[in-house]
Amino acid sequence: LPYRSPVSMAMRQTPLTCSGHTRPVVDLAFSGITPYGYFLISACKDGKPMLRQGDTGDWIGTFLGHKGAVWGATLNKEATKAATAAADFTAKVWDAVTGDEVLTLAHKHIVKSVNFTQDSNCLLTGGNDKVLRIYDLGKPEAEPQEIAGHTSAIKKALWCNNDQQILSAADDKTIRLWDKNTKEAVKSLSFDASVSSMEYIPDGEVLVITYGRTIAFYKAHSLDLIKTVDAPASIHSASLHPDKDFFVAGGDDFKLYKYDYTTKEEMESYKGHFGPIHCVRFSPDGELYASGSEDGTLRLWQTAVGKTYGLWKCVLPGKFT
Amino acid sequence: MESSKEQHLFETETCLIILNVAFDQYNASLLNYFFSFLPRLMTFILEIKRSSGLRFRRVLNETPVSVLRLPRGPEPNSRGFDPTSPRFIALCPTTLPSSSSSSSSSGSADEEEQRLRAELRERFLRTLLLMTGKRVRFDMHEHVRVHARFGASDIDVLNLQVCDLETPLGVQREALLRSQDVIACSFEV
Repeated sequence: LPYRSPVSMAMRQTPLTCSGHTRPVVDLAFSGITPYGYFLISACKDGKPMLRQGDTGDWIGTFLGHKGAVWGATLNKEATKAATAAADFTAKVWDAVTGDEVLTLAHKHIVKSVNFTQDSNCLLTGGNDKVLRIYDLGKPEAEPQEIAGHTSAIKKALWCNNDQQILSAADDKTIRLWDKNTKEAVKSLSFDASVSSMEYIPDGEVLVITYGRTIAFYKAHSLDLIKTVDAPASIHSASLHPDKDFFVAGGDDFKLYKYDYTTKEEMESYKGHFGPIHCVRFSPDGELYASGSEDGTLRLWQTAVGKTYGLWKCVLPGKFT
Repeated sequence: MESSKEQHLFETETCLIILNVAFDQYNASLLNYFFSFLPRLMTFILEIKRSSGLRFRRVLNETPVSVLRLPRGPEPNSRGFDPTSPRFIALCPTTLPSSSSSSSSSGSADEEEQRLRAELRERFLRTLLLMTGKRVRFDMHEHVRVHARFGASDIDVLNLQVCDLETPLGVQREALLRSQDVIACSFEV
């Protein structure tokens, strides 16, 4: 059985609810750890993505400018830039410190996914026009490099393998690994069901994929299967803890599940959301995970329940005021 | 898991049995309506108690983690990105002369720029004041050109409040124009 500290055995998880969005939250992303902490961006169908302090959930600002639902959002490692993908056929790059819009990249259809390279110099976009685009942010007026091949709308596109390769998941039920320079598909995975989410962990080169009720883990280089875990309900998103000891998943039944990665055992399940969970991500330090739901809220959950961290305070028994 | 699930079902059934007895006694339609919701309400309450994936008995033994406060939500009238936050000050080099660094020569160039910026800002704000109550022509995107009586702008100049906005569909008594949609505005002084 996984070890559980005595404190967490007696404490019940108190999620922190971040309100502010008025429509479903469909995507969220954390930045890396910066001298000012880490940050969280949430994409919402109300068209107003928000930046929050990662460890407390405090609102910092709202990126105003999109004229349609925002389907994807990301931050660069230093949390100095943000990028969003929206239904208004544009992807936008923002200054994440001032909130100003820096760049608007016009597309031919709804944009679903955006991802920065590690050096924040290039932006990868993917959407309903089935084409992956790479923009050089140093030369924004230049035409982007395009990678075509998917036969349906692209749901998620990520840089991997030191930004030399690209992973893309589309509604054609495939995940493809592309070489950035040759623009050819190096490998491909096919599924029976549409892939609902994809997460790439650079440290260890692990790819976390969800489809149907399954959470699957693959080696990012080779696309070799590591393991699969089945959940009680249809899963929309999953995230692996940085130390790779557990992962969390959420989906249609409004619950958040926590599994032991090694044993594949379900450790806990948490209720709290009032709608299906669309996205879930661990923070870069692994101390908490955030979930975004159809109910329009973001919730922050503790990894070690009862630990003093962020806004949570450990109160030992017998010390109630 | 089975035993607590069974216990849960038993408790729900018990509620229903008790309420059915009550329904026979009070044959009023309003009470009937109310009582028909009670089992569902009880189930809902019991479900809430069963939350956190816990066994029913554990609810009595566990205390919720205490929280210092709730996360701060968005401010209603601002888009945020507080310019007085340490991160903003550190990462957004302003042209204001900082007290610790910058030599005197660059300092004076910075001061001059700041003076000009302040002057331009003041001119802009005075223009907005002068525009108040006047009939203004707004040139907007997609070759849209409308006339309206300017009222005010909000603090971030994100929205412009206007009256009697003349649109192809008619005259709108009160309206709000999004500043980002406006390319230019002109009026008679």
